[in-house]
Amino acid sequence: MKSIPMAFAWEFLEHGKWLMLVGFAQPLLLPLFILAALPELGTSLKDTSISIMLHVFFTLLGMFLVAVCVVGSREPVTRLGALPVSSRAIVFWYMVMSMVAMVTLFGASLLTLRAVYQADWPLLGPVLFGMTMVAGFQVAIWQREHSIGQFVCWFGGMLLFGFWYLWRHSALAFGNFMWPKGIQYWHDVTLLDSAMMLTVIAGSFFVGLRSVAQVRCGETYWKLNLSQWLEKRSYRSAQALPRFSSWSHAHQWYQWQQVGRYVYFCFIACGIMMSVGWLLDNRESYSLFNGLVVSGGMISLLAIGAGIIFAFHGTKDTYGMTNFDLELGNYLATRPKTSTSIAHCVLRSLTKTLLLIWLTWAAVFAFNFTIAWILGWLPNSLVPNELGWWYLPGTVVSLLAAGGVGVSVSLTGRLRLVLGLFGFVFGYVLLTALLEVNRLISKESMSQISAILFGVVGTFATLSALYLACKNSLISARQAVVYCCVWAILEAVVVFEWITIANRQLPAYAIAIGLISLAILPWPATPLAFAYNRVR
Amino acid sequence: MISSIEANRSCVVDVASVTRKFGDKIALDNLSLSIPRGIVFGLIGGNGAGKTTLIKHILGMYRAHAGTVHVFGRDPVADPVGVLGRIGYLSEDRDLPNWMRVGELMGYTEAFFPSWDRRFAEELCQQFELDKRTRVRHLSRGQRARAGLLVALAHRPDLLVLDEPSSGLDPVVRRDILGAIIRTIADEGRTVLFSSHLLDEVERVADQIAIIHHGRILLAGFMDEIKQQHSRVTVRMSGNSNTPPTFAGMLACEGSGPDWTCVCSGQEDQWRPTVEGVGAEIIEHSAMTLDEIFVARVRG
Repeated sequence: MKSIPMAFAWEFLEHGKWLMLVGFAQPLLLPLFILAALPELGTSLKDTSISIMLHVFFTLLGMFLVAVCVVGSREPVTRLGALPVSSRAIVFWYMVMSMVAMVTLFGASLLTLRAVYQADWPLLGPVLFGMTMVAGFQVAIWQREHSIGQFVCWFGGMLLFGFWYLWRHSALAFGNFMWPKGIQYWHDVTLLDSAMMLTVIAGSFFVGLRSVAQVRCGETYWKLNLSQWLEKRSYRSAQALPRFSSWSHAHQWYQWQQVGRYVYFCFIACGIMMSVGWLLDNRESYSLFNGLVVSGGMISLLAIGAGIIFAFHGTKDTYGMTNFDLELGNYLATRPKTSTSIAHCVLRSLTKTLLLIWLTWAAVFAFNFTIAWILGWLPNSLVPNELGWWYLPGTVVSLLAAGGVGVSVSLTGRLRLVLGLFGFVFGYVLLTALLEVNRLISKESMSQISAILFGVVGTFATLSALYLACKNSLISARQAVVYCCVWAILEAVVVFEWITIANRQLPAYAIAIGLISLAILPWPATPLAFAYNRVR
Repeated sequence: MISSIEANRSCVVDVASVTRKFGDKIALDNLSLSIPRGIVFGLIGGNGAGKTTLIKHILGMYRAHAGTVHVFGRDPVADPVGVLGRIGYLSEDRDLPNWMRVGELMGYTEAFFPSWDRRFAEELCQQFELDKRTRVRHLSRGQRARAGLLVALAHRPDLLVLDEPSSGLDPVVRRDILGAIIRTIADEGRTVLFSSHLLDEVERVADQIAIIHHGRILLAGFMDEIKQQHSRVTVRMSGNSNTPPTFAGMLACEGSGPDWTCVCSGQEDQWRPTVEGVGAEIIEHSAMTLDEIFVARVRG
């Protein structure tokens, strides 16, 4: 390398080439997906208000995603501390390169979308805004490099820039976020816009310079010291030595402390955010119960994530992914217990956490139902007619099935398998959307095929897991019989319901059969996954 | 026949013709090794020689592509409870759950081992000056090694496996680790397997050693025998010969002109006639350290 900027640029491109490719592709994926479905929804980009709304949403989301990829392509600045280069040069070149990368990647994504959908979307304003935003985000990282406060800075930055962007499109002028009629494209970059963006970039440079200079000396910029305060409090109250009645008790405590409680807090936080949204929006009982019913299904999505992170043990036995590999750490791998015992213990912990989440949701539902009933505010229909009494057990089964699939895949300790599963699901959804949009197959037929395929795949996966677990002596014949009996009883209920009801909807029953199979699947699958991870 | 069965019974670890590959790279190449009960066994080798891979086979964390591994007469992959319940293990990276407090780590580990000795654990905790309320992530490197050692030792394992226990540690922690090894072998019938780069430590405590290089055992045996069988000999070639001598038992040779320093293996009465047979005069003859033997074997 002939010069420091050249060395920085080479490292940036070499280290971040794949991430930046993702940065280019990410802003395209969701828009492609939704824009492809617009005709099905009976609308198009010719409807100006829809077009502006989608433009604002996609560009804002796209900018955030590109910013994450661009800033993530950078090695920590602390690594450069010992090099004979000034902090000014580091900050200047890092910021310039990040801004150029943002303009290139985000501009290319936006141009692609405009070309594919012939949308009259502005380019200059959003791209310059994205460039300013990445400068601000880069500084947010330097402020809190290697600390959890980095996420707080990111979140704060996202909020500030998000509000700025919405304000610039007049989306905040009407006091709510429900896309008022007055929103408009950002066609002209005014003098005020330019001045504001230049001020933010210059401010970011000087704040970044001070941060990097202080990080290089090992000083901290400013701190709330909240984590230290909490640590001191918990240190004083900590028990010297906890006692466990059994290893299973100990390991369930381990899982709860490491993951379970955070998953539960995430659920509570999501619930609070939704409640605040409802309070700010219309405060109508219909919306409240509609939200509660939808969230009963949505917690299954949370359960997939919970299942996946429940099995993140990491190579260093620390929570989280280390080097993007989920391989089991030496400490946990050498516990003198069988793979089946440990895997089932993890599964029991996950089940308890998910049931706690479900019970909390059910309690909130019951509480609101009681209040609304007393006050006479109950809507006519709580649950959609096509679901009926299935809704309640359905939420439990889908919760357990989703969590079980997540933990079974993640417990293998192979990141590629996790990504492969997500890739397959995403690919399948995209394929069905494309088939439907191009009228190669009708929506009804596609739904039926997908439902039947789900039932068949769920059943086949569970049968395969049972066979393999028995073959590898991971579960006993007695255990296999018990799982099969529970499975058969639950399936029999579904079949009985199907036989006795006149208006038979095959797809719904196929989905029910698939969900029940997937709820049984983790019991034979998790020992297989754990053994596959533990013995390499 | 009977004696071979008895010999196998007295072996804590029996690795027979194990081969293991990672992609195209052969990590263990038809490796065989036996570790008798009640000894301190030192496994030495360079970076990437296969020490950790071998240890992970012994712990049942790797499945051999060929050959067999038996620990206490059991297959560690098939019977992790029977094998791991009798092993105390300190990994090279001191993998411990960072979020736990030392006291929680002790309590959690105790739940897995019925043989956990609470008094001994407390004693070690005090001796290692560990605060039970401190989180593992806040421990220094040396304290972390001590915490790992505590949970590896407190259930009084039949086999203590230490993978690079003292690398990167200060002399005080290294002394603690050596002390733990000595205490463990003081208990009758217990065995220690440890890998190390620090050959002076191995020399100090190991009864038997094995030098592993490129996945193969280059040399294995009792420490005293190995040291007796290796000598450094300085020879002077007769005439004006500038070429190094070559004789049976010579492992390595360096020098110039008529004087050459050679490393010989075997008893003196085996190599002395062959040295004299090539017309060389023995000027000096001295014993070798393990470090020198290791370098000569690996480079040779």
